[in-house]
Amino acid sequence: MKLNIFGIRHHGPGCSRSLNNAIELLQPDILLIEAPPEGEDVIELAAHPDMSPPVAMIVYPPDKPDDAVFYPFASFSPEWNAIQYALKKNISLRLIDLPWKHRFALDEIEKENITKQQSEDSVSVDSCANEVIVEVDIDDTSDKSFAQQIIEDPLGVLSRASGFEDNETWWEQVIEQSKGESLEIFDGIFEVMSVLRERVFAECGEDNRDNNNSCNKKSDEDNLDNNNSTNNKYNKKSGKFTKHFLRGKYELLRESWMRQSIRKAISEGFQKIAVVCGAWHAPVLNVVSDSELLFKLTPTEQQDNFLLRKLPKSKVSVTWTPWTFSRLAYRSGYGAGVAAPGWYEHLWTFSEQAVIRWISLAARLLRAESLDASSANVIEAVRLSETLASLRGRPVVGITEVNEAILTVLCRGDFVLLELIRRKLETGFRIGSVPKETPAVPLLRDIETEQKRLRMKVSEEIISVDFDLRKETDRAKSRLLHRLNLLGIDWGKLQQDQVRSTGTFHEFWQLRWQVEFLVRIIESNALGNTLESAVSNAIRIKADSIRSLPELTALIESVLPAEVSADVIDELLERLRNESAVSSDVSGLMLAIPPLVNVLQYGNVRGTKAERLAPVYNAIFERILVGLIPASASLDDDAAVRRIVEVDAVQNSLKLYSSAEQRKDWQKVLSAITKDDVIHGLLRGRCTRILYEDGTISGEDLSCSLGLAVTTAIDAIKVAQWMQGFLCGSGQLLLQFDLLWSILNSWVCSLTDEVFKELLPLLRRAFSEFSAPEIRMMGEKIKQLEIQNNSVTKIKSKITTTAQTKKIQLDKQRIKLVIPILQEIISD
Amino acid sequence: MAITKKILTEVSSALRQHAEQEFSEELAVLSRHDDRAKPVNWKLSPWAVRMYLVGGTLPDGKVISPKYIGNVRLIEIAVATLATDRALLLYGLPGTAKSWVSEHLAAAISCDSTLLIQGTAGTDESAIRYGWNYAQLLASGPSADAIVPSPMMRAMIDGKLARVEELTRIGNDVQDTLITILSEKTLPIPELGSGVQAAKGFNVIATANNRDKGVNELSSALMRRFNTVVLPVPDSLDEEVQIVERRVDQLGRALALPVAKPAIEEIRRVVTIFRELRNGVTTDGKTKVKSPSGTLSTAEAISVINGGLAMAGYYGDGVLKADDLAAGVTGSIVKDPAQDAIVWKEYLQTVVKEREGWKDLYRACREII
Repeated sequence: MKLNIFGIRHHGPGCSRSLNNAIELLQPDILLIEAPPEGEDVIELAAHPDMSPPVAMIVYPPDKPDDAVFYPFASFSPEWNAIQYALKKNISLRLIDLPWKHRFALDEIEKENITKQQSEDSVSVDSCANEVIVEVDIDDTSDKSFAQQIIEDPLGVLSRASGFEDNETWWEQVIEQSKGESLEIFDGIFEVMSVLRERVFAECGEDNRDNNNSCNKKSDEDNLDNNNSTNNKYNKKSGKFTKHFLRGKYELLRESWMRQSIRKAISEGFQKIAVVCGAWHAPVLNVVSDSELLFKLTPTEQQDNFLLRKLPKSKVSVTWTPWTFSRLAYRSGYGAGVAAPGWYEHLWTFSEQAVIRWISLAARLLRAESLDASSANVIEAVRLSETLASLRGRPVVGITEVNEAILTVLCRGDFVLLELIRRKLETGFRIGSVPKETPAVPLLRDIETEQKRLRMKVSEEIISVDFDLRKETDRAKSRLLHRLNLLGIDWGKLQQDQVRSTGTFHEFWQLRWQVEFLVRIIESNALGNTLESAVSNAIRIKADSIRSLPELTALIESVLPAEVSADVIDELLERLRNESAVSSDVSGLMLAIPPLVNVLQYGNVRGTKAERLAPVYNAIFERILVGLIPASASLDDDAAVRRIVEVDAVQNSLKLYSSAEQRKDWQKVLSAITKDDVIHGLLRGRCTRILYEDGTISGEDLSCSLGLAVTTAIDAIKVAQWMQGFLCGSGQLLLQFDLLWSILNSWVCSLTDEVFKELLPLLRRAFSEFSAPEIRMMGEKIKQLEIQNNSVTKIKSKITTTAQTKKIQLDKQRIKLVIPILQEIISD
Repeated sequence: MAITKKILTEVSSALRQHAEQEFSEELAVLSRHDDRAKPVNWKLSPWAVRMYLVGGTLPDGKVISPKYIGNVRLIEIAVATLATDRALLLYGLPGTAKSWVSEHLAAAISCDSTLLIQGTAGTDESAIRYGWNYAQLLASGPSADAIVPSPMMRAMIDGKLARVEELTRIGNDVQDTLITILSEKTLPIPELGSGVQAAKGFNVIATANNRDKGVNELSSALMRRFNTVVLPVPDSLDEEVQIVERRVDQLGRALALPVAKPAIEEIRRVVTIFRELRNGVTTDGKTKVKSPSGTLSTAEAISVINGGLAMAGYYGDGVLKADDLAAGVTGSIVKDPAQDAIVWKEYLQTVVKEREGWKDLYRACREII
């Protein structure tokens, strides 16, 4: 019987390569891998043709998907390659980590214990808190024992010993890129880890033995408590470890379980056993070694048996989910993440010319951005990276050197460009896929639970519903639909118009479930296990891709009804603040105002806290005040029309939400616009109108501005633009304000025929927006004025052809012919 | 003749000594300990050069003082660049120690930092290539004797480092003279039908500002031949405040300004404003702001404070106040009346106005624009 233990680093491509070679050499008849045994149910899927990494194995309690743990696999992960080998060669494959059914159950008991303690004795909680603080203090001091340092960061200790700054680089240099013989590398890792573990054992090992011995004496109950108390201690220190020799939660149990699994494989008579596990565990898993050192480190079968007795159990589900490179960079299930998955994949795919190819890729990216990056530069970058490596005494070029060479040679020292390259190459946008047969993901479970709880029927028929948001259930339903919408699952479509007409308490939806949604949900599971976390991440991604302010504010508006966590909202606001600060686009700023005001004004219906939004709104408003006049200096006709819409939008929003000071500042800006001759007449006319309606300028001032603006001294076109801006929207002003009427009248009268014809379309446009009653009233007014003043005849013949105003003998037959056409003109 | 003698003789009482003279002892110590491989014609190994620049302690306890305080990696990249015989371009804002680093690199690698070409708008080709001794030229025609070598030519012959200061100030046509030198490592002399081939160890360190206006952008052909290292502005606010305070103090004494002491609080405010506008984000990292077109270098902050001190001393009550600074600050920020004014106003409205205890500065600045 032969037992080979391969200590690896999760996601190390160099490890993978060596492991593949080693396994190929050994031809084992069974592979044991450090991964949760629950995964054996779905492990066959790993060989499915539709399975494409990065993917992750999810293990979760069915009732609490948010507690899920992930085991991500990339194409370059050693475990993934080992699994593929076993499935291809059809040899036995076992996952031998401590099952999560026990870990979840232990967590549960621990939580209960804590709550019990808290409810029993509130004083002890205080002392507990103190204790934690003290411990943190100890953590900060530098004189940690060597064993502690090893426990916290075994690779760090090794790296420092070899003169490296960080362990990442050390491992990459020494193990990943090593060109040594596969089996020798693993022997080396095994040996170095044995030394470290022995050192830890020497310092804290007594604890271990005591623990085990005492286990023998104490009752089972005590033993369990003992375990839990260690775990408690670990937890309180928020992941940091000070006293005990365990490196991670449940490490003792995990290693016991792994040993027992190995012993079981041996007893079943397998002849060539290969174990793939994290390097740290390797030394304590060799259950058959006769070396004294290993024997000392490795507890006996009896001890392990005892530790693993009567572990509590809970229900566990397991499945696969697509994964992304960016999430691979996080720490997860294994407690290990990789900083640059793209680089590792690259190393995995092209071991020989990795550096050259990587720098060439970077050059290509730059060329795609129309930047100069020649092959000569690539050569120089490669040379520089090699020189840097040798200056630093590194045997091979690492990602740090490559990046610095790219920065210096290809990017001309520009960090922004380097960031672009790093984002695209190192993290990338790769997303994996899983086959259809994969069991349901936790997100789907979560959504189904919510649907059941709210008694919402899933049907492919169209169902119309009406939610009263004051009711708790209706609000929850609305929230569910809004959230799904944000994930791109349009189960419900909000019927906008009806909402407006019935106030903000009601929402009308049309529901229709489609089968495709399932696919979408599985994809979205990479974003989060519960609807809330998935939605939060989806919003983050969406926000990242948005480039314009109005889109961003619209997103904020659409996010609020989904009632996501305050963190996400804060991030969006932060983003909004930043975008608005650097934006020189006043239009964007102005269009961003209405949605913000909507939220500020109506957000309270849903209990959204608007206070955080107000400062952002105020800052945007300040920027509009500063930027509006310079940005309005040279507008063409179309731009002026757009600017009017924007000014109106801000004006209307200010009516809903603003301080007196803000209104005053705004009026100041508007009145500065009305006085600035450089600005387009349309806008100036509009601003004059707004100010008059606001009551900022009196009738007297208005007639003064009118006199100045509507005069033959100014180019007629400009006057007409001003009039259009002033009159557009509503004709009431013209009806009520006689002076305006007469100024307009005398100006129109003063026009020559040619000029009048030229202006007619403009005036027509200004009048076309008036409502039918207004136009009729204007006609009546003309009639009335004519009685007072005969001079109106001239204008009436020009401005309107409405027959009723003419005091001539009418042929009723002929009028009947004209009326339909007139109606058409007036009504359009 | 007397003057020439004075120029050529080394004056030990020089106002400022060359780096290799000032730190000759450190260089000698390093050289004694340096047993690593040296590129041909290098006085020290790359490892020792790095040590000389960033400082450290030698095995026998001798301490090497740091010449550059900041990111060590940048110095490593610079040294590695020179070791790969690629030319080095030190890029950055004014006052980021570009020339300082360049001088010390030359001192450590070639033990000679004097092969220097100062770039100006008037620098012509002969300053980079070679000139003629016209008496000789007329007397005996073009010959090797009649040539007056430029620092560049001498560096090529001796296998040393040549330095070009303010590369972007030199006209583009003259800049491009460097292309052949950098890529072919030869300097042709068509008049003689020959040329100079660079000895091993020759290389060029150039410095250039990346934000000054009115400079001649490097052609991409030239840019390609350089490895670019960007030296950053001082990392922290406190560091920059210290630099400003020290320089203001020195300059103030030189100008004999009638003010007791610059108020550290005012310096801090000016440096904060400059840093925030330069970085486009407030020091608390919470608010983004637009950046104006000017450089807003540390050097400018120094001159603003000095101007304020003069104002306070001659026209005010002798104590530096917001009023004395407002004009200077506004003047150095608003370089372009249209765009920068918006940037500055926005900054005043959204940042200065809200900041605790900055009301006086806000009012003083608002009065001006």
